[in-house]
Amino acid sequence: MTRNLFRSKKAGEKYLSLWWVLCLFIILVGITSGVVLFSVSKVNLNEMELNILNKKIISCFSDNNFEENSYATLNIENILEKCGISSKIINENYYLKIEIFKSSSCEIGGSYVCNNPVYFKETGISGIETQCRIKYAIIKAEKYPDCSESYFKFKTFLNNEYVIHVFSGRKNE
Amino acid sequence: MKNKRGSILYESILYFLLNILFLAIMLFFIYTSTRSSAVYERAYSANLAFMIDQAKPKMNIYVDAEEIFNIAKKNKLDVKDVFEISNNKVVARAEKGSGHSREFFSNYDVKLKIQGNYAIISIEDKK
Repeated sequence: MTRNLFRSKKAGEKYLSLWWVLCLFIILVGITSGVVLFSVSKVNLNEMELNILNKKIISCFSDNNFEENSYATLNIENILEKCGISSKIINENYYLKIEIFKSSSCEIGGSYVCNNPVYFKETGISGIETQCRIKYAIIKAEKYPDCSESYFKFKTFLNNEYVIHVFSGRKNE
Repeated sequence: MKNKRGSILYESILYFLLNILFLAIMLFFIYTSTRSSAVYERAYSANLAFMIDQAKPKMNIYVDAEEIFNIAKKNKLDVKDVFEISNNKVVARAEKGSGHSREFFSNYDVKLKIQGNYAIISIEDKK
């Protein structure tokens, strides 16, 4: 059928046939839909931002900004202030959990498994951690908050080793 | 015989020109769509917010903003109005009445200065 269609045409005419127009139309639809999808797509940068937040807190501790003896009594507002983080912004849109463990109470395999924190504090929107665990473990829920978790082993001035665990989450807009 | 050859040549040229025209229109469409103000507003606001979050006091960050400045100039927007940093938010706009904002969590005193094609962000401790 196709062969007959082309054979029956004159030399130049076959280029301008319905098939060629259809081919151009398919290319047009493909490229247009690609460009439109690119324009309307939402790029989620929350995880990248949460990684920065975790890194900031970790470096604040590993740079020994806090005395080892005061870990147990540290106030989270003081930590945020000393690390240059706005507690107002964190409390409005984020969830932040900081735990510090003695290195000896952690098993370091593929990941850290630690018990009995010497310091534990959380702030921000409660419930985000649970929603994150659901999001990443059970179902793919785009509207659920994004989260990031980091562990870091560091040494204090007194030469003691600790592991800091930071869990942060941000509500999705 | 001559007429037939002439006709084939004419149709081939027409075919060629139509294809070139189609390709040019497609490229123009892709170019204008991907270089729209909204794309640059999103990219610059996020970039600046992340830079501020990672910065430490006494740092000066030089951001090459030539691309968004050029779009703003085309849209008759003063380059001084392209970026705005206040209340822990960075707003980037490439045309009047539009703009995209991104929040940052750093609790520093952030100042913005425009110098040529650069946006200079100064980070200082809060007094």
